[in-house]
Amino acid sequence: MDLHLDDRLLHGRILHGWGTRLTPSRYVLVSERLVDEAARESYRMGAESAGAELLCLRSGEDAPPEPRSGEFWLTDAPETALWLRQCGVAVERLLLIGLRDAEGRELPGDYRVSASHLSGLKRLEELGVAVLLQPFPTEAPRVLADVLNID
Amino acid sequence: MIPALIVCHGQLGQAFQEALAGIYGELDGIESLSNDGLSAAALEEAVIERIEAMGGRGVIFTDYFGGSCATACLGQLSKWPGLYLVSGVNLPTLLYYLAHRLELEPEALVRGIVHRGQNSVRELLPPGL
Repeated sequence: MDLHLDDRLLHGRILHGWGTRLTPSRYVLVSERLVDEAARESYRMGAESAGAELLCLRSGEDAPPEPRSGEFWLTDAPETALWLRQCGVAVERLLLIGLRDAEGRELPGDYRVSASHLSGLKRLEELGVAVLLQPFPTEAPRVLADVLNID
Repeated sequence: MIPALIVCHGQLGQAFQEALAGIYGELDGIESLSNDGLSAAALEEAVIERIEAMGGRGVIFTDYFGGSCATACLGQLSKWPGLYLVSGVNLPTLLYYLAHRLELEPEALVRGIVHRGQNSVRELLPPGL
């Protein structure tokens, strides 16, 4: 399955840039930040406005369900992919939509990636997860390792 | 595809385009026009040029009715049957346009745009209230 990564979690680019093209029936958010009720409410309103259901999972705590067709899995941290794999979820590709770490290394496109994020992403690649940079579904995904060599 | 033009005061139209590119990705078929430094006649002339470039059809978004931008566009509607004008442009209206411009007929598209725009203005309350 594809896991999408954006440090803003569910926001405009996801709902409109991706959602209107993929039309998911359910967004599955996986994050440590989902203890915040106000954030959950905002995400719920966003998903509802797009006619989709919402499932919020706190990484490290809630047991993830088996991924289904029509779902859009989204997280805000690379570590989530490791945790999902430990839970038995077959994450095959991690699609980086947006990473905006102010102190991070700037990569071509709309990315600033911190050293800790890079470390986590490289670890995922070592485990066989394809790590791809793809800000919009209309753009061809780029392999992280290739981007790092270019930069 | 149904083309669109955003006609607004200042740099508002361009700002909408920049924001949309960050949210939606590639933007084709949507242009903007500012009234900055243009007289009523010059603005109308610029609007006509843009309409002709759109093939005389499409949706024009403008910031508010009664302003110079809307006035310059309103006068063109009777000359171009395939042209529609929507005031009160905001991001939800433009996102609706982008999402549905390929699948809907112009009349339905414009109805949807207006509905989305009207529905997007609301007071948000803390959870639980």
